[in-house]
Amino acid sequence: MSMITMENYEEYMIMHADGELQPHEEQALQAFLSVNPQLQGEMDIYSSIRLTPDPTQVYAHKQALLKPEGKAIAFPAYRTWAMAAGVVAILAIGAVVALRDGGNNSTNNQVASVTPAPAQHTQPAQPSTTPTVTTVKDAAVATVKDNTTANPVNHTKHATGNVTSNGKNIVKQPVTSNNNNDVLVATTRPHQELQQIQTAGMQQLPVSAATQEPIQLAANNELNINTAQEKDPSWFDKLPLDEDKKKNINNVATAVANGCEKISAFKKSSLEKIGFSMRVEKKKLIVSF
Amino acid sequence: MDTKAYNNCVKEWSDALFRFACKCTGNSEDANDVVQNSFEVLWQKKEDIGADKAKAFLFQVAYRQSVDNYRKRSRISHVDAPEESYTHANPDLKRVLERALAQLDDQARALVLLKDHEGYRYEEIAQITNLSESQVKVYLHRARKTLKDYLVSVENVI
Repeated sequence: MSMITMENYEEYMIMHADGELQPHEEQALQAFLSVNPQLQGEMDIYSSIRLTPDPTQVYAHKQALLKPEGKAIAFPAYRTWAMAAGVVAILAIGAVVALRDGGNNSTNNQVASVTPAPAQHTQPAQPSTTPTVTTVKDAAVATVKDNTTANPVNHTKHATGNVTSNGKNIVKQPVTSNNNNDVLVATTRPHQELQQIQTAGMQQLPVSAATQEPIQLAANNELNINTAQEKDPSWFDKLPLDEDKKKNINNVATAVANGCEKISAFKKSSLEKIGFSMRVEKKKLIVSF
Repeated sequence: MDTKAYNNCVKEWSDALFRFACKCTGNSEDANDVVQNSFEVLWQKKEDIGADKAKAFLFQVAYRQSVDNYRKRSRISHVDAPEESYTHANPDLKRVLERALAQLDDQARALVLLKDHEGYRYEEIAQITNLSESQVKVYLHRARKTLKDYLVSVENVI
């Protein structure tokens, strides 16, 4: 900066008031004022032009701006870990389902071997006083133990011991029959409840019904179930897949749904109580607790 | 900047930012919006802004919003403000200065506030306002002269 003159002294005074002068400039200004004392009053005016904040003027909505604090851990590149966890979860679910299928297959074989009575469906020629009632009851027991479905095709398979059931309690199509006593597995109740289904009414079948050909009863059941399926088939039933594959897919979906429910329940019961939270930012996953 | 540092910024700078926004916009409602928006922007960009730069960033956002977005309303508000301070029987210097400040344009007023209220240096004000240091110096000197002339004229009237 050039030397202080009568043309530029105001600039120095303002910078002095603003505290922007260098030490040597400050000395030059004081020297200029000592030579021109009549300008001291103007210097005081510039120094007095200082605006001061009003401390009583405060922002009233401060609390609304505050964010909840807590210990937070940032996980960079969380997407990679999330994908890895997803793959592991899918593999784990698949493994669990496969193990269950294996266990249920062996159980079904045992059931078929222990209760061979349904095989008598296809052998109605054996004479007996109450052959049909016994057969239906045994078939009911076999079906309940099998715990799978009301599909009459599977009834036949149970009887022949070629069951490849998955062991799930979910039954997609209820059994309908012209016989009121033949309502055995039209339910999603668990295994224990299914075992407690009253089948005593079957023993009270009229003689005419009891003497009917078992093969005809099975045929009626199959016809009725097919009719029910045709009435309201879901999009899933329309898929060109084998029944076993559909059952397996249903099992996986059920397992995923159950897992999600457990996670949701755990989150509500435990995580929210301790203030655990997660939020996704641009490149990081922030876990606060 | 983490959440704790952000909350410290709220506690430490929200009042000053509100006062600055009030002077720039001319009314408290717009000032509330400016403060809220400024901290919202800070929260969104907190990963990129250190705690030591937060104050300057807040005033930078508030300056842009106040001067750019509320310029028209601010001008109307200040022009329509009632004349009362310097005609008062016992006017104090602060009130006269407030009246003098209202005579400045929006940019000059913001520069004076950043200098006097917040104590920023010319270089820092230049960064906040996106002006050159020379421009800040010229605008501030012009504003100081206006304030001085106003003060002198009021004293002469009284």
